[in-house]
Formats: sequence, structure tokens, C-alpha cells
Amino acid sequence: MEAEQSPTDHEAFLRLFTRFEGNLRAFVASLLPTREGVDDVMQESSVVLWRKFANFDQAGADSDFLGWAFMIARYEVLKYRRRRATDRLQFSEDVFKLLASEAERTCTTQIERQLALHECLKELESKQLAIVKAVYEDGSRIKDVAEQIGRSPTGLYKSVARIRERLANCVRTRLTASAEGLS
Amino acid sequence: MMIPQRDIDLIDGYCSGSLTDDDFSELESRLRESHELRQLLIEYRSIESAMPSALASGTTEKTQASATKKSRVIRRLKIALLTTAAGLLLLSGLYFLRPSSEPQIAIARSLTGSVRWTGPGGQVVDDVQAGRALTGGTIECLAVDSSADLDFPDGSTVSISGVSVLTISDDGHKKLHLREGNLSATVSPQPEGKPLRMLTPTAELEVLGTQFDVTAAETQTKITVNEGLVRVKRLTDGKFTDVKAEHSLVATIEAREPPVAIAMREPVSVWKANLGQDKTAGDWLPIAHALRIEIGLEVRAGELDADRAKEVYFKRLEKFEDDDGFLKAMPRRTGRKEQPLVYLISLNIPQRQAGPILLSDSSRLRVIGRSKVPQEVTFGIAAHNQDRTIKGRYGVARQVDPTFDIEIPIADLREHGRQTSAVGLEAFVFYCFVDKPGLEVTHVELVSSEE
Repeated sequence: MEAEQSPTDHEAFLRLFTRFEGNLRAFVASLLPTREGVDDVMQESSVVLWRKFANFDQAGADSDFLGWAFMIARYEVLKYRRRRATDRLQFSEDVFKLLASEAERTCTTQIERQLALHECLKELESKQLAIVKAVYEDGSRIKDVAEQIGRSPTGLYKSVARIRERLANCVRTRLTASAEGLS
Repeated sequence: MMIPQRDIDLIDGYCSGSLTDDDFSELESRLRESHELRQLLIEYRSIESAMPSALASGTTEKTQASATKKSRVIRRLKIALLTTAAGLLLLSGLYFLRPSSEPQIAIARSLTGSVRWTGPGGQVVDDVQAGRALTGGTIECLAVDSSADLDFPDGSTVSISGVSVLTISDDGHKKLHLREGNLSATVSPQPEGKPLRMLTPTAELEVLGTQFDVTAAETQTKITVNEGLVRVKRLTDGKFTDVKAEHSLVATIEAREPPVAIAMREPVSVWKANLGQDKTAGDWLPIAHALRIEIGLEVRAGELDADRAKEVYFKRLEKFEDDDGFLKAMPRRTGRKEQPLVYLISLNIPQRQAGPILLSDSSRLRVIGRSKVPQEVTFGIAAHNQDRTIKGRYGVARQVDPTFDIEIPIADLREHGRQTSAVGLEAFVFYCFVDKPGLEVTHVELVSSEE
């Protein structure tokens, strides 16, 4: 049974969802292979979270919201997986469970990861940054970007993989340094 | 974290969607074994998911130097649009927020029957789920027993039912385009100077905050205002009429008479369809056309002398009223697996009446028609209660002969799946459908022994 929502609920929800949306998106992205799937699940999750928000105990810490949101998003991912059972690149149940519980832990620090990423992007060379923007900002498929810039898709896949690895290393270093009080 | 290069390649392939099935099996097996690999996958995916925000939160000088002037402008424009959209969404209620660049306009609160959603870029969703947030796009109720209730962030609600097609958009003004079907709206007060606008094939409505019903077909639109005021522009001649509470107006494609809003009368329990005007599904053949075809066939078959054709035509035509004709059931996809296609006829009931059509215990639905083969026909009515908190489709199946004149007590009609009765409700749609082609209807009437 869903309780009635009040304007105060609305404001509280707005504040919490805004704060943790990045964490939630990272969690969902860890469990699904495509951007479309992530968008769909995020959309469904945000609606379910709002509908059930009156039942959420707002007296607790803000981080309780994140735990609750992870739980709902995990359920929405499961629903999505059932709808798309015949899709390629669907992890089997046991791998999904392992990833889901580890992703919850990792994605708790997504805000710090995003800040670190912002700094790491500045360290990329212009060409690399242009590729990142074409692939991630515009949401274009790597194949299409390759065609537009006259490169082979395989070559571009490799470039994107190298950039991703570089950024991951940079982010990891920054997060570790931050945790140790070095930055 | 020492991870073999092969494992990293597999993760890269997964992130770019380029893994073969064999590679994917290998990746799964490696993920089962390796915590480090799982961690890497989660890190990569988390970084990728944060990329659009990280890029949008600061365009670096390096990028600006390397990009062309054109792409800079487009990029800035995109960021500006994203920022504006995000701002509007935050103001209007975050539960409509979707982390993509398309702002959410409404949410599908409840859906029944077969409903299709066509979103931005033509993305079609046939199994729309309740709770789905909707961007600009078109929602279609595909069957006579379909309905969709939409909630807007400002508290306005819009419901469509029966075979209906509604396009929604919001660029500061809410815009609804009802191409056909039935709509009921409760509109919260709109910002000054930004009324909700609604278009139908024959009318344009301007709404500041009110409760109203619209029934739209190709040739006419009926607007019934229950509360507040709606300004209606008849598209044929551009004439405006203000329709106030408890009044209704029919805007037809023809503009023979000035548009006049009529005060709603007391409910009545009888109604006779004008098939040509009221139809929303089916192929209408006026009697004059039908007779020409009939006589032409007789002449071709040698059953009638060509010289006498004209005389016979007029003689036969005399027996009919001007608006007589045949409404032929046309195929319509239902979206249901168990019955993907039906041959459907549907009519809007209160098109010309000012008062609602009340279904009473003594009401009977009379339908005259023919069917190429004896078959089972489902006859039904869509109805709602006075304040529209209850609504549904109420039908019953009857076996018909090649020619039939059938009367069905309203008390026999039952809501699909629930078995509740339509007695006491107000009718707004008549429908009948069959599995096979060849159903034609020539007369539909609601009769009552009370009147």
C-alpha cells in the first residue's frame, strides 16, 4: 500500500534524488550492457522511488536513501532483464548477484569518482578528449563516430579502450590519494 | 590490481558491445572467479556513466582549441539546452526526471488494454507499463477497451479511452493533439499567458484550468465543459466560442451555422446514431453510393436493363433517409496476442446531444445489420459515471445471422474481466467487432421503455 505524498515529501525526494542520482546510475550501468537499458531502468526506478517515497523513513541518514534506492533499482534491473531475456550480453543469475552486491559498495563513492573524473579529463590530450566527447557526450555509437572521422571502427574501439583505462587509473589514483588525505 | 590483458580485452569488448558470444561466455566465467575483474568492470561502467556529467560540468580549453567553430556552437547549445531542461524539470518535480536529455512531460498513471507509446525519434513501445515517464510523443489506445490515464507535474490529469490517438508536448505551453477518440481532462490553473492548447481535426481549444471532455473524429469535435471555461476555435472558419461550465459545443468541419455552446440538458436514455457522422472506426458507405454499386452489379449481371437503371435507382433511393448507409467493420490491430486482429465498428455516442445518455435498467441497444457469414459479434458500450471516477467497456457476445435486427438489454452488458454492469452510467462510445470480415451495420439505437 502506497501512502499519500505531501509537498514536503516532494521537496525531500527532490533533494535526495538529486544528490544520489549519479550513484544510482553508476550502479545500474554496472549491471546492464547498454546505455538504452540504463536509461530505461533509471526512468522506471525514479518513478517507483517517488511513488514509494512516502513509505521511506526520512528520519534516518541520507545514506539510507541510497541503500533503499539501490534495492529498488536492483529490482527494476531484474524486471528489465526478464523483459529482455533474449538479449545478448545478459549475465547469468550468479554473476549478476556478485556484480550487484559489489557495485553497491563501489557506487557509494560515485560523487567522489565523478569529481576525480572531471580532473582526469583535463589531463587528456586534445585528440583523446575529442573522442571522449564524441562517444560519451553526444551518445553516438563508436561505429558512427569512426565513420564520421574517417577511422576504422576497430581502431576507434581500441582508442576508446586505452582512454578508458587511462581515466580509470587516474581516477583510482586520485580516489586513493584522497582517502589517504594526500589531496 | 594485476589483471591479465586478455581479461581487460574482454571487459573492453563488453563495454563497447563488440563481444562475440564465445567471448562473452569466457568473460562470465572469468567474472565468477575474479573479484578484481568484477571490480574493474564496475569501475569502467561507473566512469562511463559519470562521463556526460563530468564533460558537461566543464568544457576544457583543450577541447575548445581543437574543435571546429561549428561543433563548439552545437556543443554549447546542447549543454545550454540540457541545463535549461534540467532546471525546468527540477522546478516542475523531479519524479518526472529522466537522466537523458529529453524532458519528461507526464507519467502514465494507469493503463488498460492495448496501449502504444511512440516517443522521441520514433521509438515505439507496445507494452507500455503504468508508471512510465513520458517525454514528448504520441500515446495510442489501440482497442475499444483500452484506456490511459496521464498525470502531469502540475497536477493536471488527462485520460483517453477507446480508439484514441493523443500527442503530448510541452515547450512551456502544454500542447495536446487529439487526432481521434475520447479525452477527459482536469487541468490545473496554467501560468498566465501560457494556457494549455489542444488541437483536434476540427477545433483548437485554449484552457486555463478546468474540467472538460472532448470527443474528436475526422469531421467533428464535441467539447463538454464541466467546470471552468474553454475557448474553442473552429478551424474551418476561425470563429471563437467561449464554452462555460455545463455547456457543450460541437465544432464540425462544415461551417454552415455559427458555432453555439448549448447548456447541458438533463440526461436522456434514448439515442439514435448518425453512422456517417458519429463513426470513429469503420468504413462509411452512404446509401446513394451503395445503391449505385448494387444497381451497377445487377446491370453487369444482366439482371437489370441498363436503360431502367436510373429509374430503379431513384425509386429505391426514395425508401431511404438522406443519412442512411452502411458502416462496414474494418480491420484493426488490438495488440493482444490471443486476438491480434478484429473487424471493428465504433461510434461516438453523444455527438449531437447536449445532455448525457444515461443507461438505465430498461435501456436496450438495438443494432441492425448484416454479416457475410453467421458469426459471433461482440456488442458493447463505453461508459462512465457522472464524475468520471468509474469508467469501462461493457460488452456481450451475440450470435448473428446474415441479416440481423437485434435488441440487447443494457443489463446484459458486462465489463470485461469484472462482470460489473453499465446500468446507471453515461454512455460515450458504441462498438461492435468480429473475428472475420463482412460485418456491416445500418442502424444503431439506444431505446428505452421509459421514454
